[in-house]
Amino acid sequence: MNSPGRIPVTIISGFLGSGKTSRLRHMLTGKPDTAVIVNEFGAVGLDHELLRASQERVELVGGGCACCTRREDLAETLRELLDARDRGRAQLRRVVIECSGLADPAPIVFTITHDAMLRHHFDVRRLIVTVDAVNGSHQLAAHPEVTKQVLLADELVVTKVDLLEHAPEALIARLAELNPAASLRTALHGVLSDDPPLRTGTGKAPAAAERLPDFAGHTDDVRSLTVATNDRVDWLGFAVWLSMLLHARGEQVLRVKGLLELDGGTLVSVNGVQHVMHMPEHIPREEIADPAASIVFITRGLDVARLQESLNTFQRLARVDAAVS
Amino acid sequence: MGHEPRASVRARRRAMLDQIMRAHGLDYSDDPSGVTALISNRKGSVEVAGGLGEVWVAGERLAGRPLDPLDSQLLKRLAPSVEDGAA
Repeated sequence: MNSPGRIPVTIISGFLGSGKTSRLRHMLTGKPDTAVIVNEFGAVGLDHELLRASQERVELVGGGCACCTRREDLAETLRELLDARDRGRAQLRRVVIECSGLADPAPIVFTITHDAMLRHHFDVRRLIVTVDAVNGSHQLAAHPEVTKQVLLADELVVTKVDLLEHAPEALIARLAELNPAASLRTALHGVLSDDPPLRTGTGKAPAAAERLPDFAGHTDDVRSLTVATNDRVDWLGFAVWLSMLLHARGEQVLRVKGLLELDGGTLVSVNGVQHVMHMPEHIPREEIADPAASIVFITRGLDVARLQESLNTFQRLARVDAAVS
Repeated sequence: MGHEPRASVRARRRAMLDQIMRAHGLDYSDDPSGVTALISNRKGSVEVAGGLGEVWVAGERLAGRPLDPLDSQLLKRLAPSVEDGAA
């Protein structure tokens, strides 16, 4: 989501103890003009202190999850950072928000993108989610917060792989199944592996329509639909359809991400978290290793066959209108 | 988005929204720029909408029911339009 002039924001999330802070500390090495906002669930912010050693500007939003009780605090913290920059008290080239392990990142994105002032100054670029290689499968099954974090990620990082004798293949397969739109890498002590990504996060998935069977607990109605748009897409038909879908069913559409090839051959990336849709972005064809277009919808409680039927109907409707207009 | 002339995109948008609104018993029209829309029901009530988001809200108020693209009845109603146009 490149937007010249706005300050890029990276959100890093992941369950308690999944290696967020280690990853973050490595990401911040050599970048002193980064402001870090740490959200702790609890009275004492340990991560806050760990990061202070390397960063001048670390702000703590403590005492609750940023997603549910502290959104105004988060907004206020961002405003204070801007004020400090404008008064010449701080350099501010990028912002990183480290979420509480229990936080739902979606409202954090919403807080920034729907604030009349903040959205003109900050640009949420990436949502990174760390997953513990040893405990990740159990946490996914036991804690709905983890599933939600994984569903919303742009980049999944499997941590602590050194603690296992073998690669966590089942976990990696599960993560890819849950969120085929995210890139997937491993990290050791916060450092990303030199190996190529396990998945590139182009949104491409093997099947035209993919269901997630045997989902545990209350997440059993979460479904992923990959629309392999081998046919080019009419942008108007897609935009009208998506707008109507998010209006009517926004609570149930957890994630929309992918690459569309439009009539005329233009490639456009689409990226949305629940009600929040980023501006679609033109992608130069030469920047895409595999330009096969597809778009992933991660939904809760929606009939994916109906979703596909609806999208197809609106596409045909737009093209009929093209033929008669 | 793309190389299609703006006037053509606006005409297609108008025709598409008109089809969707008609499927809900409503009428749709907009100004030549496509910025301001008028949605009315058969009882003579009219609402003004300034964008797609407002179009759905106004349409729901006038129709007295949700405007849902996954509604099977809506998809059935839109299908003949598609078939007629394709013929």
